[in-house]
Amino acid sequence: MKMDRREFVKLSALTAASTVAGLRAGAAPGTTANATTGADGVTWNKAPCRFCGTGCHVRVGVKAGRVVGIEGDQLADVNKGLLCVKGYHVGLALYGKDRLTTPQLRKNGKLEPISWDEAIEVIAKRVMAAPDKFALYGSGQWTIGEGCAGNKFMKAGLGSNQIDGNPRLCMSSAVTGYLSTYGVDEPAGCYDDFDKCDVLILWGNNMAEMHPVLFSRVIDRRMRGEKVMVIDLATRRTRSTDYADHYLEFRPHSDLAIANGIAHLLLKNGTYHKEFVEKHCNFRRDTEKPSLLGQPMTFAEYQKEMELYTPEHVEKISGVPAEKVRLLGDLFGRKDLRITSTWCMGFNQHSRGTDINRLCHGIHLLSGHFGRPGDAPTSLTGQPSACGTVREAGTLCHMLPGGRVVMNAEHRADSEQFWNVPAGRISPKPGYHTVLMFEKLCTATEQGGDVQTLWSQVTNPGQSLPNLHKLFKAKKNLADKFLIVSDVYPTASTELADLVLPSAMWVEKNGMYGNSERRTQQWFKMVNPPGDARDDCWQTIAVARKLFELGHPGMKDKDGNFLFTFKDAAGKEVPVWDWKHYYDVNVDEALLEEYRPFTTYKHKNLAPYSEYVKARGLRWPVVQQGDGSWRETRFRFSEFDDSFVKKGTEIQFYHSVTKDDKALIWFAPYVKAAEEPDAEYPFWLCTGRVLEHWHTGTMTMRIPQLSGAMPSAYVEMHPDDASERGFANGETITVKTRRGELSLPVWINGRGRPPRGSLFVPFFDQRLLVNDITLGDPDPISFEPDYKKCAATVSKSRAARSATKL
Amino acid sequence: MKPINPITYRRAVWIFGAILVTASVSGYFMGLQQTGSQLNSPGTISLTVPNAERRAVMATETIPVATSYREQDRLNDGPNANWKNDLNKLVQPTVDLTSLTNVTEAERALALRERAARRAFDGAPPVVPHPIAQNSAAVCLACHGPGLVIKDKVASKMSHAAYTSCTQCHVPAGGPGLLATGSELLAPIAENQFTGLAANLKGSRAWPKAPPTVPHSTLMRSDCMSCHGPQGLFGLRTPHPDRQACVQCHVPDAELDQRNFFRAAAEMTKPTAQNTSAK
Repeated sequence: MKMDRREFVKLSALTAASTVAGLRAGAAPGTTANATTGADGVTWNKAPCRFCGTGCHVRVGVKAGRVVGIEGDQLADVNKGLLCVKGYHVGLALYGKDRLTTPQLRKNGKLEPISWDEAIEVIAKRVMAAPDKFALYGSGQWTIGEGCAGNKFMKAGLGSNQIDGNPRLCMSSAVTGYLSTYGVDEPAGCYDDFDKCDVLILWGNNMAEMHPVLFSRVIDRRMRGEKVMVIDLATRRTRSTDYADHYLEFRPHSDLAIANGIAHLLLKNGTYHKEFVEKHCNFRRDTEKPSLLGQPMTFAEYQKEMELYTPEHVEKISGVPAEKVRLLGDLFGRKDLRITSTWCMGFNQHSRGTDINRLCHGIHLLSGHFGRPGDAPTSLTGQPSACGTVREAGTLCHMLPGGRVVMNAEHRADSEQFWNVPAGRISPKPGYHTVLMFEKLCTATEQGGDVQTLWSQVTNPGQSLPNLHKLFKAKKNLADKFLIVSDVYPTASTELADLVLPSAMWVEKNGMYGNSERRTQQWFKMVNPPGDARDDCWQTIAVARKLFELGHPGMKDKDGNFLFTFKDAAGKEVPVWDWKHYYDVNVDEALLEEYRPFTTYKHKNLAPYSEYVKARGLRWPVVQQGDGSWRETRFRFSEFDDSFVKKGTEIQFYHSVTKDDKALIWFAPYVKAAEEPDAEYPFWLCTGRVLEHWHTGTMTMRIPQLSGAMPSAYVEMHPDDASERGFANGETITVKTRRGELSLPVWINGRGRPPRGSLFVPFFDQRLLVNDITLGDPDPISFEPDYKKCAATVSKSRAARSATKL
Repeated sequence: MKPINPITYRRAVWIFGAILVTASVSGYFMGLQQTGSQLNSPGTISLTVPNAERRAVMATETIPVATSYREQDRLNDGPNANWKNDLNKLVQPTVDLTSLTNVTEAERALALRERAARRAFDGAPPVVPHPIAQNSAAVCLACHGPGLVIKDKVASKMSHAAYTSCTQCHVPAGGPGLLATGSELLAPIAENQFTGLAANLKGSRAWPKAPPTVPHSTLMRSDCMSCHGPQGLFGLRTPHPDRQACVQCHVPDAELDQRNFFRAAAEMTKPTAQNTSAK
C-alpha cells in the first residue's frame, strides 16, 4: 500500500489521539499511576472498599480478568493497610453463582429474559406516558457519577423532584442535625480526631462491629501506651462494650434526657465554656410544628429548660445511675480533655433523630469541645457514599447539588445554569421522601397513589424499608404499578419487580465514593461485569436517550443538545447510550467535572478528577494552592486548617443559620417513643446489624467465609427472660408485634446481650425479614424512620419450622 | 424370790423419775442452745429465692444459698480444686534446634493446602476453625499470643503485630453454633465462584544453594516463626530454626509488599502545602 507523507502524519496523529483517549478513559487496568503488575501476572490497583462508610482503601488483585485477592492499602490514610473481615473478602462479592446477567420482564407472574433494547423501551414508554408519576429511588451506594446522572435526569430533564435515596433511611437525621446547628451538612472534623481524643463516647452505636477499622484505630492506641477512655452509652451490651471503660445502659429513647442531663450539669456547675458560647453560639428551640430552622431562644430560656434535667431526673427516665450522668457532666466540663462523640443508627433511626443529633452537637458547643483535633461531635456514616453521592450531590426529593434546595429560586437558577438547561426547567415543589414514595406506590391509583412507576437502583427496599407489608409488599396486589429494580443478585426487591436489570458492581465499572470524613475517593474499572450486566449510569443515560428520541422536551439542554452529551479528546460526541461505546470516554470523569462547579457554593469544593486518581482520597474542601497543588481540609470552621475562615476569628461558622458566623445550640425535650412496651407487648424490639454482613446481605450472604461465620438471623434475649418462658438456646421462638410475627432462633448470652425486657434482631437475613414487624415511626423533620424501637412479645413457636422461604 | 420391799420400790421409782426429769429438763435447755451450724433462721424460708433476693441474702451471713447449676464452678470445687488450669504451666515440647528438618515436596504441598483451606485467598485472614467466645479478645490471646502445641493440636502464634480487636478480621468458620446441623437456615443462599490467589510455591534462588527470597507478602506476616518455626505446620518448617534474624538473608519482595513507594510517588506532584501546615 502506498502511503504518502500526509497520510502518514494523519495516521500518527490518529494513533496518538486514540492512545490519549484510551488512557483518559482509563478502562483498562495497568494504565493508571497506581496499578502494579507482578511476575505472577497479578495486577494490583487501588479502590475504596465496597462496604461501609469508613472508606478503607483496598488493593484489588486482578489476574486473567478476575479478582483474585484483596489487600489493605498501606498508603491509605484511613486504614493504613488494615481491613476488616468484610473488606478482606470484598472481592468475593462479585462471584456469587446467581449473578444477574440479563434483563428480565415479568410476564404472567414469571420473570422472562428480554433484550436491553426492549428493557430500555419499556421504561421510556412508561415515563413518557406519565412522567409525573415516575419516581427514581437511589442509594448511598450509588457512585457519585450515578447519582449525578440520576439527579440531572430527573430534575434537569423530566423537571421532576420524585427522586429520593436510601440515606433517607439512615443518615437523614444526621443531615438535619448538621444543617440546623451549623447551616451546612457533614462533620467539621475528620478521622484525625480519633488519633487525638482522650475520651471516645459511643452514643448507641456498636462501633467495634459497624466501623471496625475506625474503632481499632482508637483502641490500638492503647497498645502504644496511650490512655483513651471509651464510654459505651447503649441499650444493650455489644462487642464495643468489651473494650469500654464505662458501660452506661439506658432505656431506649432516653438518650434525649441524657444529653440534656449533661447540658444541665455544665450549666449548674458553671463548667460550660463561657467564652466559646459567647463568641460562637446562639440558642435555638423548635417551633410548635417541628421545623428545620426553629425559632430563637435566649440563654436564660435555655438554662430554664435544662433545670428539669437533674441527674436524678435523668436516672428516673433513663435508668443510668445519677453518678454516671455526673461522670459525663464532669468529663465534658473539663477543658484539658479532648472528647470525641460518635454516633450512627442509634441516633439517626430515631423518631426524634433530628433532636438528638442537635443535642449532641449542642453539648459539644456548650462545653467548647469543638474545633481542636480530638474534640469533635462526629456522625459516622453507614454507606460508602451516602455523603459523597446523596448528601453532597443532592439526590433527595428537595435538594439540588452542592447543598442547595429546590424551594430556593436562586439555587434553581444556579443549577439550571450549571446543567445548561432552560430557566424554569427545575420544579420548585419537593417530591416524596422515601417512606411516602413507597406508600404512594403501594396505594391504589384511585385512592391517591400517584407513584405508578418506580425505578430502584443499587439498593434493596424490599428488605430495608420498615413496616414492609404496608410499604412494599402491598404493591403486589396493584396491577397498574410497575417496579424496576437494577441490582446484581436476586433480592427481596426483585421478588416483586416487574422489570429486573442486571448491573455492574464495584470494580466492574469506574466510580467515585465519598466517605464519612468528607473524603472523596476514586477507582478505575478493573474487570468486566458478567454476562450482559451494565453500569447503572449507562442505564439511566440509555433511558434518557430513548426519551430524547421519543421527543421528550426535557431531554434537551438549553442549546437543544442531548442532556448527556459526552465528547472525546478530539471534541467529537461519543454515543455513550450505545453500550459498546460507553467506555470510549470516561463518563465518570465527565460527570464529576460537570458537578464540580456546584460544590463551591457551600464550600464543599472538589478537586479535579486527575487529583483523585493520584490520591487515596482527598477531604473537601480541596483548595488549590499558589504552586498549583491541591490541599485538602481536615478541620472545617477552624482557622488553623480551614482556608475559608476569616483571619483572626479562630472559629467561624461561615454558613451560620443566623447569618452571624455563630452555630446554634438547640434545646429539645425528652419525649417518649412512638410505641413503648405495654402489658400486651412487653418487650422493646430493636433491629440492627452484625460485623459479618453488609446491610441486607445480598452480597455478604454469598461469601462463604462471612455466611459461614453468621449463617442466619436470630433474636437476642436476656437469659432470665428466656428461662422464665422456658426457651432453650437456639430454639425457634416467635416474635410478634402489631404488624406481624416472625419465627427465628433465640441466641442467649451470644454476641449482644440485651437487658431484661429487650430484644434485638439483625436485619441481614432475607429469609427472616424483621422489617415485616418493625414500626418505622418517622422523625417529623428528616422523615427518617425509627427502626430501633417498637413493642413486641415473644412466645414458643407453634411449628418447629424456622422460616418460610420467600 | 423375795417380795420387793415397798419402801425400796417407791424410792427406786422416785430416783428413776428424778433422773428422767433431770435428763428431760437439761436436754430441753441444751436443745435451745445454738448449734455449731448456726441454724438460726430470721424468718420463713421459701424454697425458691428470686435472683435479686438471692444476692441480697448471700450478702448477709445467714443461709449459704445453693448456687444454680449454671453458676457452679465445678472446675475449681471438690476433687477438681487442685487442678491447675494455667496454660503457662503446660509443658511445651522441646525442639532440637540443631536438627535439620528435611521437608518433602509432598509435606510442603500438604501444609499449603491446609493453610489454603482456611483462607479465601493467599493473604486473607484465616477463618477460625473452632468455636470462639463472641465477646473477648483476651481469650484469643491466651493460646495464640504465645502459641501452643498440645499433642497434635497447634494453636499457631499470631503472625502479625498485636491488634486489639481479633474478631474484626477473624471470624469462626462454623458460625455461632446456634443451629442444629441440617437446619435449612444453614444452607447458603448461593454458591460463590471466586478463585483466590494461590500461595506462590517457591521463592527465587540466585543459584542452587542461595537463600530463597520470600515468595509472599509480609503484610500481616511479620513473625516468620509463626509459620516456619516449631509451632508452625511441619511442611513449612525451616531447616535452621537456630538462626533468628530471618530477614538478614531472606528478602521480601517490594512489589508484593506494596513498597513500590518510589514508583507511586513519582506519579504524585511535588510536595503539597499539606506537608507543612500547622496542626
